[in-house]
Amino acid sequence: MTIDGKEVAGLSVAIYAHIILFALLSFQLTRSDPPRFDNPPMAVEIITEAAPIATAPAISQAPPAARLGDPDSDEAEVAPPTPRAVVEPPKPPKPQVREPVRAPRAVPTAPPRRVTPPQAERQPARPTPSRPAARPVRDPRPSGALDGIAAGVARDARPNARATTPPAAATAAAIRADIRVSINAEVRGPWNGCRVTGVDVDQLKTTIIFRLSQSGALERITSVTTSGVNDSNRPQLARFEECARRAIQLAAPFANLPQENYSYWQTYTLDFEKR
Amino acid sequence: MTMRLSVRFIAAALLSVIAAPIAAQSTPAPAPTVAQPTAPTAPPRETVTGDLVQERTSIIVTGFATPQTASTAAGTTAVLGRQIAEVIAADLERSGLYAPRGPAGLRAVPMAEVTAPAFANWRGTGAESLVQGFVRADAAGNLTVGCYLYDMALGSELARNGYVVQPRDWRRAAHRCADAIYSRLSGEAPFFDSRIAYIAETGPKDARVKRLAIMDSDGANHRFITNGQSIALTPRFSPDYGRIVYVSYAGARVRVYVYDVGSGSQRIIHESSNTTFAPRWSPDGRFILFSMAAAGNTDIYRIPADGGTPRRLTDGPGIDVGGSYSPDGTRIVFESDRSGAQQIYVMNADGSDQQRISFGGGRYATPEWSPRGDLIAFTRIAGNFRIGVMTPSGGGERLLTDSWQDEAPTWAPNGRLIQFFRTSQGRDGRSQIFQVDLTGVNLRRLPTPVDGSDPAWGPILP
Repeated sequence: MTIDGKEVAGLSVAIYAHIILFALLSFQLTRSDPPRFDNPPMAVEIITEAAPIATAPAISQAPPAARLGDPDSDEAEVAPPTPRAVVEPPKPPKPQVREPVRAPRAVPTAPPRRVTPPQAERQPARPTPSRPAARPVRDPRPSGALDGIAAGVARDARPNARATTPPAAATAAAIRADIRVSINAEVRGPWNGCRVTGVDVDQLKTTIIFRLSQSGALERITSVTTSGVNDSNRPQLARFEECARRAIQLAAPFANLPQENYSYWQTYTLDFEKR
Repeated sequence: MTMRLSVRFIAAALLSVIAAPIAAQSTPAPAPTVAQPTAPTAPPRETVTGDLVQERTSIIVTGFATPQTASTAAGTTAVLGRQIAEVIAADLERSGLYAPRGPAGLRAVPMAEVTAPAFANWRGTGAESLVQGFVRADAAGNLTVGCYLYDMALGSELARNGYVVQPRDWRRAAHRCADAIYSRLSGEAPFFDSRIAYIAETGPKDARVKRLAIMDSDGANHRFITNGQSIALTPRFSPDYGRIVYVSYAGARVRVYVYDVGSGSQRIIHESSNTTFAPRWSPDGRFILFSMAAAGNTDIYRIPADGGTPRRLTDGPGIDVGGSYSPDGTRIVFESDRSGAQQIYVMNADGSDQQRISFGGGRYATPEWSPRGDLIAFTRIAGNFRIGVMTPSGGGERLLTDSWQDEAPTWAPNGRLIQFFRTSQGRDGRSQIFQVDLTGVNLRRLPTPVDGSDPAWGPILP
C-alpha cells in the first residue's frame, strides 16, 4: 500500500479545498446582516387574516416604495374589475389578495392560506368603489402594493401620508375594524319565536360559541353557557338554552357573511337575552 | 485521475459554498409566518336581544287518532280521541302560555301520520308546535294514550309519552299529556294532573253554608265532601292526596278533621273550645301544623297526623298564626303581630331561630311557601287585600293582583301559578276562586258550580 504522487496531489487539493470551504462558510455565517430579511413581515398578516376586495384598489395612490416588486407582479390584475376599467375586461380575476403576497420577497414560500377560489367566484358580483379604479393605473411594478392595501383599509384620502409610516403599518387590527359582520337580524327572528316566560327570565344570558363553514352553514356549536341563573329562573334554563341553540340552527346558513373574511368569522359568539 | 478527483473536490467545495447562502437565506423564511398569529383575532360577538312578550305560543292540537274504533266504558276510542285532544287544548290554554288551535276545525289525522307528521300541511297555520296522538283500547279494557309533541320549525320531535289508564280515567291521561307538553315547552314542572280542594259557599252572607269540595285542576270531577251542617274551613290535601285536613266549626266546638279520600271516612285529630285554624301538612305527611288561641295567646302547634298531643312551637306574647312548611320541611313561615302589626316570620321546624322577613307598610297575612322553595306567597293588607310573593329572605317583594279583596294564596304544584279567592265589594259580595301566573299575567277565574273560597291546590297526582 503506497501512496503515489498523484494521490498526494489529489489529497492536498482536497485538504486545501476543505479549508477554503470552511473559511467561506465561517465568513458567511458571521455576516452581521443577512440580506433581505429586514423586510417587516407584517404584510403576511394582512393576507392571511383578511384582504377585503374593496380595500385593494387604492394601491395606485401610494408613491412607489423604495424597493421594486417582483418582475412578474402584475398590478393591472390587482385593480378590481369595474365597467370603466381601461384595462382588459375581467377574466375571472385572480384573487387579488395574492398580489401583495408576492411583493415582499420574504414570502415566496408562505402558502396563501384560505384565500381560495370561492372568493374569485364571488368577486365579479361585488360592486367595488369606482373612484380608485377610474384613475389611470400607475406603473404596476412598484411594490407599493402593501402601502396601497393599508391605504385602502384606512380609507386615507392623503396618499402621501403613507410615506411617513413604515410599510404595512396598518395591520390586521385595522382591517378587522373595517369588517362589519352581523347575523343579529337573522337570529333575532327565531329567537323571538321561541318564547320563554317566567320569573327573572330577563336575567338569563346564554352565550353560544359556534363554528361556521365557509358557506355560512352551522358547522357545530362548541359551547353553551348561561349566566344570571337563580332559584326562580332555573326551571327555564334548559328551555332558554334550547331556544338560543334553535335560533342559530334555524337562522343558518348565514349567506351574508363576506367569504373573503372567513378566517375572521368562522368562530362566532352570540349572547342571547330576553328583555 | 488525480485531476478528475481534484475537479470533483473543487466542485463539491464550490457547491457547498454556493449552497451555504441559499441555506442561510431559506432559514429565516418562516419568520413571516411566525408573525401571522401575533395579533389574536377576537371572533365576532353580538348580543341578540329578544322581547319578553306575553304573546302566547301557537300550538296545533289535532284530534287523537285511533288504529281501530273500539267501544269502551267511556265511549268509543274515536270519540275519546277527540275529547282527549279537547282537554289538552283547554289545559294548555288555561296555563296562559299557549294559544292552542284545534281539535275543532282541523282535519282528522290518520294513525300513520301520528308518528310521521305532515309538517308541510300545518306550516300555513304559523303554529310553532304540533301535538298529535292516538287512543287504543286493549283486550283488558284499558286505554293506551300516546302523545307526541313536534317542533314545527325544526320538524323534529320534542316529546313523546304513553299512558295506560282505565277508561274512566281518560281525563287524567289527557292532563298527563298536557303536562308533558307544558313541561317540555315551558321548563316548568307539571301541574295539570292535580286536584283542588276548596270551600263551596252558598246562601246569604250572614247565613253561609260552607262545604268542603274537591275537583280536578280544570274544575272537572267536582265533588262535595261535607254536607254543610257544620262550617268547613281551610282545607289542605296531604302530600299523597290520600287525606284532607280541615277545620270544622259546629256550635262552640272547633275540630280539626282528617278526611280519608279513599274510604270517605274522617276522624278528629284535635278538638277544642279554643279558636283553631289554618292546619297545614308537613311535606312528609307525618305532622300537621295549626294555630290555636289559648289563654289570650295564639300560637302555632304541631300535632302528629294521626292525632296525639300538640306541641307548641311559638310562645311569644303576640298572635302567631298559619305556619307553612318549606318544601324540605326544615323551615316554617308564619305571621305574627309581635311587632305591632301582622308581619311575616320564618323559623326552624322546631320553633327556633324566629326571624322577621317582611318590613313593608300595612299588614301581611297567610304566608304560603312555594313547593319550589324559592318564594313565599302572602296576602298584603294595605287598603285593599292583594296577593304577593317574596323570597324566603324577604327580598324581591312583588304584588300580583290589585282588587278589592284577594286573599289566601295557594300554590300550584309546580310553583308557577297561585290560586286565591276574591271577594267582591258589598253586602252580597261573592267569593270566587281565581288564579294568576307568577309573572302577574293570566289572571282568570276558575269556574266552580257555586261560590268558592279557601282554595288548596294539591300536589301532582301520584
